[in-house]
Amino acid sequence: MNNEERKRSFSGVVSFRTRLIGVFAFSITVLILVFSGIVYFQLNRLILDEFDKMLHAAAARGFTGPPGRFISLRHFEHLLTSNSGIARAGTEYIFLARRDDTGRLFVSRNWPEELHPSSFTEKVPTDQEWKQALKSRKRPGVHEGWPGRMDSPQDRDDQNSSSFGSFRRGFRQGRGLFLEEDGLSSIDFGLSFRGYPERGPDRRTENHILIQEKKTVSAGGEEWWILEARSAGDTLFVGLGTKPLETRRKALIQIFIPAYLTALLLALATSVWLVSRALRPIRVITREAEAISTKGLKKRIAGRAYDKEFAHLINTFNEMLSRLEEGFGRSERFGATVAHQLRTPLTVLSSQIEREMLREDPSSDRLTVLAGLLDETDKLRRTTDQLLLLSRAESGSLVLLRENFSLSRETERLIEDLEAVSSGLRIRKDISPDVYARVDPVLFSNAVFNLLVNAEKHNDERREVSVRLDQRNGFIRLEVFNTGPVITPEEANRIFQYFYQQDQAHREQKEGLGLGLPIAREIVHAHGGELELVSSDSRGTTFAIELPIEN
Amino acid sequence: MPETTRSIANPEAVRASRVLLIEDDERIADSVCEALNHAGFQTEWVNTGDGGLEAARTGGFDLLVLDIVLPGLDGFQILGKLRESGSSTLILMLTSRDSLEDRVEGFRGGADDYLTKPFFTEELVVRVEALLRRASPSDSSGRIKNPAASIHAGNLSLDRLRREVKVEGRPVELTLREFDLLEYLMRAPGTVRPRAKIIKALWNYGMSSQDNILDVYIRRLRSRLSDAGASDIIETIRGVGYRVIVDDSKEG
Repeated sequence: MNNEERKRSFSGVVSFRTRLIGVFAFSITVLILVFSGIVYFQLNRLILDEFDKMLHAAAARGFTGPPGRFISLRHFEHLLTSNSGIARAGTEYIFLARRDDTGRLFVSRNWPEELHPSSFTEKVPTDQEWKQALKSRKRPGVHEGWPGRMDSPQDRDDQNSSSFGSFRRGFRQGRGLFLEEDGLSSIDFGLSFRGYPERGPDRRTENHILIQEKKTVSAGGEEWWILEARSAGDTLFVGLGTKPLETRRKALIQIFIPAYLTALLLALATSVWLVSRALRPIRVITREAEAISTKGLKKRIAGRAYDKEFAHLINTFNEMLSRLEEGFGRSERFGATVAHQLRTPLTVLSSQIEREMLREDPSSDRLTVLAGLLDETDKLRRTTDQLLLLSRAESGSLVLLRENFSLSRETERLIEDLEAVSSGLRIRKDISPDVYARVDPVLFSNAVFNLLVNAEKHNDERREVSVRLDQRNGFIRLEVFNTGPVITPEEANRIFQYFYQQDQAHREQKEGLGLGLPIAREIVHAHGGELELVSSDSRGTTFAIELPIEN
Repeated sequence: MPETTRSIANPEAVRASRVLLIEDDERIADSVCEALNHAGFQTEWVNTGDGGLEAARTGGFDLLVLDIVLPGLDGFQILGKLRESGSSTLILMLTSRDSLEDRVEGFRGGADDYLTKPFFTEELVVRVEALLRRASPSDSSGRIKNPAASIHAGNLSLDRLRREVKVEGRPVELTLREFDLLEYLMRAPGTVRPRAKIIKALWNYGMSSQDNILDVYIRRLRSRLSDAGASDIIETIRGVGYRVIVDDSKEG
């Protein structure tokens, strides 16, 4: 891994959460689709079965009553509507046609006009044929496969009209059609039937019913199911329009689609919730890990009742932190030790150089050498001081040498310094006079100057900085404002972390190590105050130091 | 460790204040003693804590310069014992930030001043002088040369208390830093002030402050002064530092 890779911060293309939600939602959708498909298929089959059963039940009931001929249409209709009749099949869209053993075809009132019997049964005899056949017959009803049919007496002369049509008309008009045979009058016959119990036992059981076939017939732009059943010489046609079937199917779909969409939405919501819940540990761990800066290495990620994987992750992370802490502790101690060890030699060096300089003649060339040495010694001292400050600040153990200190004057001085070392900066200042505080002059000035340098470093082409110092409500407040790029809320916490740089450009341009703000904050904290980012928007960024006034 | 006590007599300053230096490093002690003596003090040096306490109790010194890390008793203990026994001798502690820890406040209660290591001996001398001056403001017998509130160099005069600079009686507007710089240079007119010392005296806070900050201010100060009619008063000593030229033809 090269340096570039180490520095780069990675940002994923797609959020893992989004991806998980996608996978979840997709799976659930597929499941629902498959499931609803199966349910729809089954329900459809149930409907079909139900219709089929209805057909069969209607067939069974259609045979109720005595075998053989119907005395009249009324009789037939009565059978259809009686308790034992077709009405009990519980449907109004079942229609019946029954051909008795004389070949006559009785059709129920609700038989659809567009469905002509010829479309589902053999040739229906014309009235003429039927009359002929009836006359030549010895005993109607015995003859099987009678090709003829009966006709209404009113229509007997109507040779050209459709026999079926005329028959129907008769039926509709409720005219009775009855057999004229063996001298039996209709009344006699009718009378003889009067005593027939409506709910009497059917001499035929379903076992005697022979289901011939079920046809699907197209007529009048609609599909019809025709079930043909026979029993003891009677043929029953049970018809059923598939329109109701379609209607029910549509109703089914109409129920299914909203239900399906609701389920889908629910599934999506549930997956969002579940995934968020499942990923919450990751969020918490990330947040806590972010909070652990190099300074707060003592902290650990709190173990919670998370899943095993997360517990393992937390443990691994905490172990890493322990090693880091150890390492950092060592380097902190190292920094402090180095500073401590350099202290005496540096004092010796500078004091001896000073002595030599005192002894030297002012015009001597050696003075230049000695001054150069003194310069270097002092640079070394500054580096040492910085090392010590850094290691102290990082470990939160700054030592303060407090003095009564004029913050007003010092702030003015520091602003002047900022002007001296920067170019093109427009600095506005509003400094209340006579603000004093008991602070460590060196450290506090350092903090304020860091803040000023930060304001200069992160400025843009507007090049504006303004500083305000005042004292009120028991607090000394120093505000530093600068024009410059907006600090996002995510960055807001990180800028106070050690070695954090706002962006790559600044990292390369400026020599700063990203230590200014964290050190400044540490110094202010050591003084019992607070340094925070007040606001950052397109107008600019404001930091403020607040220091309680000691009594 | 053998105890050594050295008395450095300064014939020019017989009546000078007596200063005791308790410091275990001989090289530092040498330079410090020399610098203090050079400034007119009568300095004695002890290199152990116990010896230092003894000398401080019996020697009748005006001021103690006390290091913290010492063989035997350490600086804080000596301070504590002296203050317990009611001694009011002025005490200047030589500390370092890393050795103070929590004892800062306690030590501040007892010591009169402190100086953090590493320091310039010149700073130490200035502090000692200031302490002694503060302790005896009425005593202007000349034991300590009292720095004048007003300093003159050529046609330039500087009033430290009022923070005023005048060229031939006309006030010159200076910023805080410009005044600080001029004041520092004029503390010892005619003496070369090395860059390192100026920087430490004025910009001690800026641990990594830019080196050219001094040049910037010198330039500004010169321009201000020459505008006011006091040009060429600050002389650059190449490779060393700066000094304020004393014009002997003019009255100080």
